[in-house]
Amino acid sequence: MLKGKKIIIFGDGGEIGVESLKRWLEAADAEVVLGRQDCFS
Amino acid sequence: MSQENVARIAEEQNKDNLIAIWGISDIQPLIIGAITINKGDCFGFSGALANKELGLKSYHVLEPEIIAAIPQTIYAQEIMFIELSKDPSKLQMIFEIMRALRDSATLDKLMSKIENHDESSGPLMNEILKSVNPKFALPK
Repeated sequence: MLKGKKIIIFGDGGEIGVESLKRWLEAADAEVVLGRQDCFS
Repeated sequence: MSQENVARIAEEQNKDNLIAIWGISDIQPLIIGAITINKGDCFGFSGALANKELGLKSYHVLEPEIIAAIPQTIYAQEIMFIELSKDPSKLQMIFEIMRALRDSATLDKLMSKIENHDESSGPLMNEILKSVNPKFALPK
């Protein structure tokens, strides 16, 4: 379901950080268009 | 600034092909974030998403449909141990919340709760959680 999708990622600043998320999702043929290491709150 | 970046990207991209994926496992910021990028900032952060509905759907990265799309070798080497370290009941709670926030009818009901929230009925976040599942509550 991720192939060709554009994705905004929000990391947890820890073990599921932006770098990991980006690597995992790009391996699924998705394109990360924005990565943030936190949320809005 | 953060909301501005998300708003800009959403305006530049085809929204039908754009989703958000979260690594955060803290319930409160996850709910606030997922609602904000779908229905706009209704929690008073006064950012660029105030009154701006982007309509973006959110997933948690450990949801089964996301995991199924990631190559098995990467799952086995990098993700499985993280998943196993999480409280399974909390993960199921997160998955149920994310499914609810992707459902337009459920989300509209939640928005009504948020807009009409009365502090005397308890914390807003617990109201939202109970709307998703009456058994849910924030940890004390």
